[in-house]
Amino acid sequence: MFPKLVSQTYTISDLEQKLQFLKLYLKLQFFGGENKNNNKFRSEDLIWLESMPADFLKGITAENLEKTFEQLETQVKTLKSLAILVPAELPPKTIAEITNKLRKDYGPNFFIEIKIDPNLIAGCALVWNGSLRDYSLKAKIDEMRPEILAIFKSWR
Amino acid sequence: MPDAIIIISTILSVFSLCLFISERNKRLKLKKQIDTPLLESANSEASEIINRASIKAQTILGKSVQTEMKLEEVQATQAKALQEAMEKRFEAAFKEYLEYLNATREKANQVLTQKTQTVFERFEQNLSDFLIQTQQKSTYTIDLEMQAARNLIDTYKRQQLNLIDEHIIAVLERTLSIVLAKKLSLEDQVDLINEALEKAKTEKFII
Repeated sequence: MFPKLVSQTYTISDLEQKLQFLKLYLKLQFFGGENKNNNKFRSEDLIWLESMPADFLKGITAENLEKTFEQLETQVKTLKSLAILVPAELPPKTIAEITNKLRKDYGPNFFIEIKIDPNLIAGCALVWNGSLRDYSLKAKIDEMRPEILAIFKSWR
Repeated sequence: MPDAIIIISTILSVFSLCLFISERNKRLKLKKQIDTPLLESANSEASEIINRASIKAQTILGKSVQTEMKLEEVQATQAKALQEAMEKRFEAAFKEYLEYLNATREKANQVLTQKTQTVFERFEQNLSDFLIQTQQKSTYTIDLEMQAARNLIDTYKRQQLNLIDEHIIAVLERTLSIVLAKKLSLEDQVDLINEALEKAKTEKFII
């Protein structure tokens, strides 16, 4: 189940949200009795669930539900993600493309977190294991500050 | 009985006393009769002796008066001689003292003139040195003040130039931010991200 869950999820927060949705959904299915109303779930979550393969939830029963999700949550806590700081929001498709490309290089359990920082102007900055590496245009400007100012001074 | 003894002894005592007194009076009368001629001769002898002594004393007294007169005369002569000698000596000493005073005065005048000259020369030199030092100090202080003012101006200039530089960069960043937000396409932004990721991979930032 975990590889299938991960394959279409690109950020850890998204993964945690999906796990929470699945847990509530399965609780309702197993213990809801006659009143199995799915109205309280978000439509995009339900669409995502329908898009998953038929055997996605195979093996999960009312008896092992809690234990299975405990194991999944523990697994999620061990995951590390690369934070990508960008100046403007990126569409989900682009995020998926970037993540898939990274997964080719760093393995299937690689996640990213997109954070918005308009000060970067263009490009991005990366945060991994608490270290920052700035590849943005702002960093480039700061790096080239003496040259830029020299050009301006030559105009005075 | 004892009273009788006391009375008898008292009577005997009174009787003995009366006998002693009468015997004493008899003896005194007798002694007086024997001493009277002796006393008279002694008295005349004493008067004679006294007369002789008196004459002798007057003689001695006359002689002593003469001696005293002589002594006074000698004393007056000697005193006059002594006074004259003293006066001469005093005049000589006074003259010598006056000469000494004149010499001292002349010498003091010379020394005073010399000292005054030296003091004036030294004062002139000190005044000149003081003026030179004061001038040097003033120049040095002015130089320091000028240097401090120049430093202050330089610091202010540098701060203002830094502020201008900050503004230039801020304006550049702001302009680029506005322009690129409109002109930079999603593809270009994704290309920049992929480029950054490749760079991070090359630099082994993500392990």
